[in-house]
Amino acid sequence: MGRQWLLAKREVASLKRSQAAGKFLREISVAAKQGGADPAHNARLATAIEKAKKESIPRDNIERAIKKGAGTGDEKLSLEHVTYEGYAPHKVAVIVEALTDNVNRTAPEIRVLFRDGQLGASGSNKFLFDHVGLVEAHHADPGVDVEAAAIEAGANDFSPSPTSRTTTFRKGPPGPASSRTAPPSTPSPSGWGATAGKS
Amino acid sequence: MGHLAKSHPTLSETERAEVGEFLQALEDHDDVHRVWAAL
Repeated sequence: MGRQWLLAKREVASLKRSQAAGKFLREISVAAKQGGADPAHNARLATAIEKAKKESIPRDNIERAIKKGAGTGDEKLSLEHVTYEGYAPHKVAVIVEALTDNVNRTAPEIRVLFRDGQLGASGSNKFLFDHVGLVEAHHADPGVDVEAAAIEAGANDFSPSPTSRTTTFRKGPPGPASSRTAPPSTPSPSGWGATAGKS
Repeated sequence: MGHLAKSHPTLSETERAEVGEFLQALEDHDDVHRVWAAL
């Protein structure tokens, strides 16, 4: 009885992230942890909060998530960022970023999830991926020259989304001395608005 | 930072659905923050 809903999911080939509220709140906590609790100084946090507001998440929950990430609230959880690498069925390389307060609990759980695929050692898959900074932006005018904007912003590559009017700008792998390079700045004078800055 | 795959294997529809299910199960896990896949 429990697995019938899975059959419906099989028909859906889309791999977009799920829309659960918890995901947005988690993103807020991570952003607050990485860049501080002030959205004015933390672009990632600002976009995360906007996304959460769009999903009608209560402001209280948002504030609690910020405090949780920044560590200023009542809950003194220390979240650890761990990465797991492996393969999904049919040799599809997968990287899983997890945030957990208890690695000893999460590791076996991830191993269970990987039973259909293969869990590899840390670093076994990373070479299959490019480690880049991504910025999603949209412009009101559909006829704007995306390539020029990309060159101006200093991005290495861009890919317009076929579905929405957003474009993803890529900044290439950072050198050893610049591991904290900020994502390419979207040129605001030309009217671009960043919808997601992943740094 | 993001992880973009350098190459993508070609998959049939059923294979794609299977992988999709696998990734969905990963994402559903409470602690999982983000999943990147070569797809």
